[in-house]
Amino acid sequence: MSKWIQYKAYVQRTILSDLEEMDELSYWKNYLFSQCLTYLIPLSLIAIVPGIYWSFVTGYLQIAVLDFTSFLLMCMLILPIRLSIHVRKWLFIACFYVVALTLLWHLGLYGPALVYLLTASIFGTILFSKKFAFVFASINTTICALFSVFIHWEWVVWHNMYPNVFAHWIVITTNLVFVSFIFAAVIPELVGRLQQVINKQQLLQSELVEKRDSLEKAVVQLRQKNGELEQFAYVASHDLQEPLRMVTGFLTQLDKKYAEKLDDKGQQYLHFALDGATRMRKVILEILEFSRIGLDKEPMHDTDVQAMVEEILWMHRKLIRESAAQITFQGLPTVFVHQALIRTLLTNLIINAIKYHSVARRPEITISAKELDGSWLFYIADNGVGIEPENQEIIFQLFKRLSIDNEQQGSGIGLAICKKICNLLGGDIWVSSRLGYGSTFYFTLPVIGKRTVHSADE
Amino acid sequence: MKPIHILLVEDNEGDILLTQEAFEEGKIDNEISVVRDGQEAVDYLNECLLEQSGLPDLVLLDVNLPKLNGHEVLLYIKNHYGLKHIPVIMLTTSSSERDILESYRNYANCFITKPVDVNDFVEAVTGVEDFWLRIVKLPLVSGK
Repeated sequence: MSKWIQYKAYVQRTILSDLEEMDELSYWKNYLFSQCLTYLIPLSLIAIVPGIYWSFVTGYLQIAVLDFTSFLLMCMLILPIRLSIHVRKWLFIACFYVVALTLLWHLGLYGPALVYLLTASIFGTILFSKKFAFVFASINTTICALFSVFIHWEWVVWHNMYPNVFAHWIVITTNLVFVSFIFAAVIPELVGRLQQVINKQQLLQSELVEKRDSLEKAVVQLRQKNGELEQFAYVASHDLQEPLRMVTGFLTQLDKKYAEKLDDKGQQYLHFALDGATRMRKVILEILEFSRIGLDKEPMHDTDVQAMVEEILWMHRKLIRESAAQITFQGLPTVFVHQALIRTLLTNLIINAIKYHSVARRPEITISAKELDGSWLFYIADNGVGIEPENQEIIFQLFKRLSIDNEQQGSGIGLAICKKICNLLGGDIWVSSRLGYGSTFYFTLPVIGKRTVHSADE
Repeated sequence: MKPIHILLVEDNEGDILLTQEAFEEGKIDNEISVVRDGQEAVDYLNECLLEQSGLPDLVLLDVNLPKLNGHEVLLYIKNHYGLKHIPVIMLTTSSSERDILESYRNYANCFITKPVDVNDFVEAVTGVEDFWLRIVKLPLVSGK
């Protein structure tokens, strides 16, 4: 089998040695030509071997010579000699016509001449460009007409010339001519359509490449802008701290040491100034924290979320004790993440759950997780004050604080940070809540690496 | 007990004032010398060494200084035979990991980020005082 494949490959290589564009129709025509030759040479033996034998038997030695020569010519066409493909094609077609003519001369209607005539015109139409389409059909017509003249004037002598031979000739050859012209008309149509399809493909391809290039450029620009913005936020908030420290610091000193020297109005001014400075400091710290997220290129680790939650609860035990919060957690897996990020995420959510508790009841918080569609879905449910439906999305925006009450020292940025972290980790975050009953914060993290789950209850 | 001599290396006037006031509120008798850039700090210490007196018992060093920065001053102190025994506390606004690591690598005794809130700052400074001046035993050697 491999010999056959090798042979095929050899012919293809020889014929298509002058490499053309694979997208060009001409390439595929030449490819077809190579396939013709590939199959023709072995298959022709089916006709040639018996042909040569019967030629000897019946005494038509010329035909034996013809068969032999034409076979040799075909074999020559696949030799790696310096012959352009165009010349090879013409030789190929010419060979068919020579065979057809010779057979016609000697055998007429009793030989396979007309078959070869038709075949020659079909191949010609396929292998050559559109303008030659009708040439071959016309050649066929001319040959048939010529021979009808020969028959009429008895210039040809065939095996059995009976009186109606002329009529038969006309009848048969008109069919041949008619079929030749059909092929001449139809094949170029197909080829033309193919060319259109190829052209369209090329157009789409170049459009795609263009689009992709502009997209890549846009992405690069965006990344750059983003980086600049983050850096700006970081630098700004960092550099703002020092002057702010001066303002806060000395206003405090003023308050401590000289407040009594001021009258009520003065003291009020001082307090407002101090309060403003303090709030400004908070905001700057928050911006700093927000812009810092994702900057430290910490590598990812397998993080035991269960252990991390325990750690967070331990670190905030004072707050938990003061609020008498009851916290249960279970089913927390090990995830492959940046540890610092997930610690911040969990801490913010847990602290929120504790802080925004209802005064009416003791805070109860549940933390758990389950695997869903290739992600971990975590949820932190509390029985706190709840969130109105219209606010459930905006709380994740920067600086959106819902509680005006100073008691619940809400950080306007906590949830914005959570959202940024979730996005960085490839997940999402949202809340489901009923006003007065409590809220459940959900967030997802993609599953990467091994999964182990703790089912212990605590 | 003689007053503890503290060398404050700081270029920010406001911070100088705050630090001084914070130490004033402290319990230990202390004396603060102030230099405003890294070069001045090195010169001051060299002079103390020459005169064989006046070497500080404690150095509060800011990282961001003109002329020589805090790290360079730290390196100088900790590589000098006559100075390396003095505890150096890096007191700075920078909380960059790199700064912290470099300071400890160069044998800073500790690194404190200046708290933004002035009360916290005072607390930090009094904490320094409490720890370094009351609890910890400082060498009696003051210049050789």
